[in-house]
Amino acid sequence: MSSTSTAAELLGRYVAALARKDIDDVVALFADDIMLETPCMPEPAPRRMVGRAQIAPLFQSTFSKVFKVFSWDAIEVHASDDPQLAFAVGKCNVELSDGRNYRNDVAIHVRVRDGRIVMLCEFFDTTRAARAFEGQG
Amino acid sequence: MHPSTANSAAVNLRLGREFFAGMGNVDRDKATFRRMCSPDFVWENSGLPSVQGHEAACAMVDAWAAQIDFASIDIEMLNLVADGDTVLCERVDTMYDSRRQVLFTLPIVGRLKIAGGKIVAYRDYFDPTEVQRKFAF
Repeated sequence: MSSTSTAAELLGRYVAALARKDIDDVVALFADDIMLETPCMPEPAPRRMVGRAQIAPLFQSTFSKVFKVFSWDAIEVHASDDPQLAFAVGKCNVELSDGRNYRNDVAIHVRVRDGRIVMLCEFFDTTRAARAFEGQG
Repeated sequence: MHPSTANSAAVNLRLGREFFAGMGNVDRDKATFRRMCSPDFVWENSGLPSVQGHEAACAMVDAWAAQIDFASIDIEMLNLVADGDTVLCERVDTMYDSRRQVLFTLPIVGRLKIAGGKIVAYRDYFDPTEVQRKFAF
């Protein structure tokens, strides 16, 4: 991975790795001190986490235990004038481990430094997520 | 980025900046929709009904005024970027009632799609929980 990779390049790799459920590749994009912000996360789940060591298990658990199938119905990655900032918007389509389907609209933006993601922020519709994950523990 | 795309992005960035600067209160919001959006533009908000067209958008603003006493809005723009025909922003909106009491403070990612110098799609991603509670959805 190049230390000069732009935010748009890294965000493109991030959404592609999610679609492959390749969480090792996802986590490899993260800086040690990455901050994950999820302002729409249904309470009582935390809306901010810091550190790859804290965040990696969340992705591994979600994609191995909760999401049976994950895909993007649509995803657009957008660069900006600032090579350290990029946005993506799209629609995810998930088959949950209990067989139910979960779809949501998602907006992601990242900040990068030295070829790694240092801030990852994901917005989605809280009410759809809360309905989908009721009883998922 | 191709020069014409870069030029288009610069124009669209100015449009996006003007659009959000045009927001401020019920009358200004409606005037901005009419001035800057195409007659059949689509306005989508997380967790709320989508509307299409000037009259439906203005009716939604009027409904907010009637139902929850929405009167004005302050927009703190954190990032505003353009990529081709798409403008994306990260902002914090604070909505007030007619006594200037805060109704909501919402972190938001917004996306505008622009064609022919007009906004044809406007989508905001945010946690709608508090908004739905106020509207008793």
